[in-house]
Amino acid sequence: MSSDVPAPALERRYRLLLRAYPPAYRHGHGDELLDALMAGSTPGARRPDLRESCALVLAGLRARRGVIDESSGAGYRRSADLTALALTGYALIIVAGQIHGSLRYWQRAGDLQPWFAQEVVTAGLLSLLLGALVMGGRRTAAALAVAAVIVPTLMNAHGFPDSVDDSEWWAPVLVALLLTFLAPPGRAAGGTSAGLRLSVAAATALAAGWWVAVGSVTGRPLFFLLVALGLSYLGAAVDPRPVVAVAALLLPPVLATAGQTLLHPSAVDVWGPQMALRLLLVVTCLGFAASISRRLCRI
Amino acid sequence: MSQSSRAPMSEPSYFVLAALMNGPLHGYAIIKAALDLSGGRFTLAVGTLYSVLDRLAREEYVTVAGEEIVNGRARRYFALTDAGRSALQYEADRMAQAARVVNLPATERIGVNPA
Repeated sequence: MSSDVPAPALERRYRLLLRAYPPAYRHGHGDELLDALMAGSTPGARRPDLRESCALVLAGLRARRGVIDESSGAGYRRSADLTALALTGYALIIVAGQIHGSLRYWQRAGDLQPWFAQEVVTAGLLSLLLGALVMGGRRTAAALAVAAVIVPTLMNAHGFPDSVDDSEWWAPVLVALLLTFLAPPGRAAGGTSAGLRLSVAAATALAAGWWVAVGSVTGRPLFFLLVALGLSYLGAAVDPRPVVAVAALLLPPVLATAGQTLLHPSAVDVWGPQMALRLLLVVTCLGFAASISRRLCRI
Repeated sequence: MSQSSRAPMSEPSYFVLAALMNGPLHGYAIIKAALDLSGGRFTLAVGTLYSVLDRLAREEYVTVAGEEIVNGRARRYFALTDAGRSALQYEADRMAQAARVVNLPATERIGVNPA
């Protein structure tokens, strides 16, 4: 075999690994990276060095996510956006579950429950809010979040979310609203990829799990959420934002329980070990994500 | 950013800036210089190097000093800016000060009272 055979094979394999980078970056600097990779390779090598390959793929994926280019402020902004999106999605699924329950009641009893209109209006407002968050309209999202909290509350015969089920969609919308207001202004470079949004949407659907146990705080499939959290931990070296968004999905039942305890102080017995575990996980995840973000943003 | 509030620099950034002290270098030359400066201890991966260079360029610690075509591929040369030199010097001073705490004779260490 001639001595010039290994180089093209190695080059081809390095070019394959360089596909981890976004096309624009590859177009601008791909040849330069390849030049450095080839210069540093062992003479006669046909396969890329393992350490070099891992570093290349990790750096490429980070560039794809835009993590490398952002400051810590922009990173926080993107985490807040994604978290608000996840929480609103969660609230929407809960309300959709309630509508589903009302329609089944209608099928059985032939009569609609009086709160059906409130559920439909809430679902409509939450859908609009979700759309505004996806499109990045910050002011519209904030206005819709306010409306999503106030309008159904006014329509509620009791004037306030009076059951755990009600407050379970109500509380995450309030948190989403706070995140939308508190996040630093300005859009982060690069945007959040569709894949990332889809992943968080899938975790949200699993967290709410309305087809598994509609309307039950204790019946939520915590297991699926823990799996999603584990996956987001595995991907944290590339992008720590999903850890924050998935961890926030542990919160709604805790917020709903806290709201109920405030309304009915005698009901403190609802604070079981699962709530403590959820809170502990949220705090741990936020600490972990903050630590990774700081490391990624470090000069 | 004030000198006192500057966060400690990562090791890759430190060695990349140090490699550029003597003049502009291209990517692979930076890796070799960093390896030499660290006494063979610190090997920069190419992916890591370009991530670090992108970040340092964003902070205006390095700048592209020129470009040439070698073997049909573009090769950029990176140079240290004044801000980069100042950040590197600050980091070197910080580490020297930290090392001094350990290297001082026991009797000269403030707050240490050998039993």
